[in-house]
Amino acid sequence: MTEIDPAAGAAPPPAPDGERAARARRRLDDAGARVTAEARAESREQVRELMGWS
Amino acid sequence: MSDRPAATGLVLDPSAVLAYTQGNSGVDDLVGTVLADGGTVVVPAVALAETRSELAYAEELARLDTLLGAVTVAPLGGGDAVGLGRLASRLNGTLGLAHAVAEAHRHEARLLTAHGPAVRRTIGELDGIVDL
Repeated sequence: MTEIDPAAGAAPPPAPDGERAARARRRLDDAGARVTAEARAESREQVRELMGWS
Repeated sequence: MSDRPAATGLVLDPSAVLAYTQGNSGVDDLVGTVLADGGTVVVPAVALAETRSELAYAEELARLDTLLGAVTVAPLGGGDAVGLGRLASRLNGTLGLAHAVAEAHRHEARLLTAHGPAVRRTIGELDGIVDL
């Protein structure tokens, strides 16, 4: 069985071509655009409290 | 040169890491694009361990190896263990998903997951959730 060896220096994944990269950027941007500042703050506060980072 | 204001970070939960190892081109493109744009792709250690426990095929392990050559693996500090358990309980999800949510918070990064609806319902949108 092949075992994971991060030190082996595997080549990084190649960058996608133009159209695929544009689609990926759109997905990332859309995800951010859906979040209002207030919702983001509330959400982050919940994580802070649960993780004990408050 | 990109006109994007700042490089976007991306955190992969176990479902995203698994999808990557199975050759999901959408995940491949997101990872490649974030890295090409100078951003950071984070794989939380618990998400990595959880995913590795489910892999058996050489092709999947080779793809995981490739991914690990390009991303940052975020460790779990001992001081965060109890909090992570609390977060997993709230999410009604796995520890790997909880670690991904915590790292998305820490890095102010997008979270890539197949469990977006559950995260939104219980925690909210954080800095943006990208659905698988």
